[in-house]
Amino acid sequence: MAALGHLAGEAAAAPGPGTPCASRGARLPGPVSSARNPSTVCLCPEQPTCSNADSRAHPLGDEGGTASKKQKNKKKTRNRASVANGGEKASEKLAPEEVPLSAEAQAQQLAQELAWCVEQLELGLKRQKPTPKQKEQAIGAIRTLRSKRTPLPRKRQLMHSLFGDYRAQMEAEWREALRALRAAAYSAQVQPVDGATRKKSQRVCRPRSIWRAKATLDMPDEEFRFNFF
Amino acid sequence: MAARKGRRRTCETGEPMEAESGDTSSEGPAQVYLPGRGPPLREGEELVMDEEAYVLYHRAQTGAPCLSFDIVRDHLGDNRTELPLTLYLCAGTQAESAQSNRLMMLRMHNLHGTKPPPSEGSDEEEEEEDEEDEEERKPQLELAMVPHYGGINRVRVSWLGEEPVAGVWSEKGQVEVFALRRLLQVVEEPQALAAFLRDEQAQMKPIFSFAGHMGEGFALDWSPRVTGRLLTGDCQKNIHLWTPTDGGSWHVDQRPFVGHTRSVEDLQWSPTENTVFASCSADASIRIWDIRAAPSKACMLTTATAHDGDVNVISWSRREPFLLSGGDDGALKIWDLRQFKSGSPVATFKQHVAPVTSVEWHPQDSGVFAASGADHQITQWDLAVERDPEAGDVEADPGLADLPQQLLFVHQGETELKELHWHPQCPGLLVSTALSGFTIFRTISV
Repeated sequence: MAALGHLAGEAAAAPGPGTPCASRGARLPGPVSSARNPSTVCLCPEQPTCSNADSRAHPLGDEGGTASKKQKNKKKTRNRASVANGGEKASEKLAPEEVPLSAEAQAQQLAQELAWCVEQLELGLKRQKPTPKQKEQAIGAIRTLRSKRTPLPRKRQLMHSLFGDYRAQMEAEWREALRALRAAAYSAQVQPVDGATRKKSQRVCRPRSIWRAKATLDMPDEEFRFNFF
Repeated sequence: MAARKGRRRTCETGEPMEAESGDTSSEGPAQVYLPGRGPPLREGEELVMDEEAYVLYHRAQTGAPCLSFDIVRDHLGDNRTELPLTLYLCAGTQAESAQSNRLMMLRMHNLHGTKPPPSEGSDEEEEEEDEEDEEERKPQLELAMVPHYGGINRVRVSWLGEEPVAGVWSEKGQVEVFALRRLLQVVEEPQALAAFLRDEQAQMKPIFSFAGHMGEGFALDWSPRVTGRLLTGDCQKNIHLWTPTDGGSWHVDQRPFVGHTRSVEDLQWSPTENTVFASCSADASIRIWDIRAAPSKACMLTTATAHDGDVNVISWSRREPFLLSGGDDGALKIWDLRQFKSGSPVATFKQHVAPVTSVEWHPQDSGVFAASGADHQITQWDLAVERDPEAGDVEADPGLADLPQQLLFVHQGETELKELHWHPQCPGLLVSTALSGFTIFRTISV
């Protein structure tokens, strides 16, 4: 990911604490050439928000494929933390730029943009073997983007410095996903399993008829009900 | 029957090899090989199979793996056993990128069994017929998909009168309801599918969405008795009740049912009472609720330590007062609801050696159930089986004597098994999803 390489060139500078997040969704005029170092050192280590972000970001810094112990690994993809943010949920696809967005739709689009940037950073950490410095910067960026205390303009600035025109990239990814969607309808397949594989799959087998006859279940005469009320 | 026999044969990969030729001598009695139990296969030792265990066995691939799916009840009739079979599945993907996920409708048809067709005639004639037969017996898959933002944690299908819908739990934290009628139409007709892909696919939207959960979740169940009534449970321990409204929408009670202290992993409505449901949780408990009480007082019964750790899945028998649970401890437990207050299961099975990922009672056969685990095993069980000492029955295979007599079948062949379901209209047919895709099979055991 090019953005990680870009991060390596940033001069180290610790910004001061920001003001509470403004809710306006106005877009910044463009990438700011004097962007500050996104790898923010947390100045409030005791704050619950910071520790929460720390615990969420931490597994991404581990080497290897160790799954986070804090999150049940019910998913098939390894090492992917959920980017679901309790306060920011997206329920619609990307809205066309031409149509004026309601306040709610703007909030949803913002949530998706933040989620996309975090997702890209996480995928980069997983796929591209970043240097320790790059890893630290990416994790710091993820923490900033997820923080409820970072003001929105600062998040926008960070997103632009990392990804440039991230909206265009999201749109391109969406179009690519649609193309893959159409192609996948024709490439899916079902096939019978051959005899050798069937033999490997079977580990214990008791034919039905031998054992079924001896039914001993206690069969109630009536349907059981708790009848709580 | 899987039996372990010692043979002098080199196997570099350590994988069991099929016996086709070579040394016929054997050392010691044959033993049943079970993964995770007993000694590992020694060099030269291999698994030997004897008879055909599968009536039908197919695999399907659709792209990104699916974590969850459901079987769509169709209009082709109940109690279908005549091959070839047709079935409909609704599934959700779990792709790397949120924008790459899909809700899918699959129609699989022309699923033939494992028995080769009987052949007649001369050799020359026979060969020609075999080629034709092979083409005729080829299974088919039609697939229609709609884009979905975020990985899909769980899918459950219900019919609202004549309208099929799917409840979909998104990893982004909302639960959506999708109408399925159009998807079912297009998997029936190739022409309709082409038009759908061109014009409609990208525009499909849920008919309802609820974003009130505080995070993502996995627990979701439609009421089997009250049309359109839905329950959803999240990883933040909350459960919400959805009540259908006259306009074809839902009212979701913002007040969650309170009781669990950690993630709600699964929940299920009672098959016999409109207002009662069961839930299980990472807090190790199983709870029984009644929605007629206030949400803060609706938890009627609790078994606080049902498993040694997370309770991942439950299944409520439609025919007997039994609840089946599977946990992170690998155990399967049977709870008699008439004695639920006792806090003790009536049976515990420890066949699985890793977290149980899915359990389901057979929809028709009393006492029969299936389970899948992270140990890559699917097991089939029958509680009605009991050895009769008077009859002097002897196990056909001595190796099976050490296994619970209720264990009918152990299936392996897929990795990262996530969910399984019996087909409600095709007796004994089991469908599962794993990292590599779907498996559809029926064994001689059920």
